[in-house]
Amino acid sequence: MIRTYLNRYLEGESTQEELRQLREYLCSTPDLPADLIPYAKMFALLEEKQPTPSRQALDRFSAERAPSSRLRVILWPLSAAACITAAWLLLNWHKEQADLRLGTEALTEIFSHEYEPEQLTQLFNEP
Amino acid sequence: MKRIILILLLAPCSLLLCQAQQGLHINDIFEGRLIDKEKMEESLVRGDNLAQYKLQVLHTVKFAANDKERAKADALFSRDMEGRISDDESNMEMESHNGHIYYAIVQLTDSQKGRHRYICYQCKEKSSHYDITLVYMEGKATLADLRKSFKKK
Repeated sequence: MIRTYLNRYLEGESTQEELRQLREYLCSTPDLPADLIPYAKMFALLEEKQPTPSRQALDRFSAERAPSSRLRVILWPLSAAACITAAWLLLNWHKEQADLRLGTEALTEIFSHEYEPEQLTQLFNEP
Repeated sequence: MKRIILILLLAPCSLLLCQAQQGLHINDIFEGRLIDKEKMEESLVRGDNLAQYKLQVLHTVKFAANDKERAKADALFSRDMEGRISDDESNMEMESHNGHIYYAIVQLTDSQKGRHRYICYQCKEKSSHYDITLVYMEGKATLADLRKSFKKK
């Protein structure tokens, strides 16, 4: 009977009454068959009551973790300033790269100077 | 007190904004006194980005000019050319026609030891206007270095 209850429990089909009987059997029978001992341990573990922290301990914990209101007041402007600075640096870097490209292109054009067709016409038609 | 701190903080910024080519006649062009700044394509690079070219400052402007503006730009550049080191090919190169400069690369005399200053000019004649490019640069690069870096092979 107990094995049937255990199988139904493992299938998730046991009723409250079956579960109660199963728990009682596993927790109170002194000479359990060897294959049922792991289940008895499992039930014993489930029966153990987990310690609940006191209200004072919870308050102390939250007081240690949460930044003080003064710190929050300082942190917000600092975070905003850091974001603005990062954005400014990024934009500046992009502009510098664009300027560098423009500048070097201009220099390449001058150092490798080639006449425009209009200028060549003028040069060749010179009296 | 606050005002003094503000002035102390802003002073280096204003120094940075000063243009390197100040004292030259072509500064009028860079400053937008010949052509509106909005109508020019400008680039200004300083420092580490130019290390590979042995330069510290590179300032360029490109703009479209009519006859009058071209003549004025020509004249301003010619006046600055008077400060050139020499007419030797190692210090300058230039092509001109009918009194107008088509392109020029000129090394200027400089009082600061180890620093070289250059001005460059290019005028491309289009059907209805002129495309002008003006460059100011300074650094340790010699003209030979610049030719090596920027001349198309």
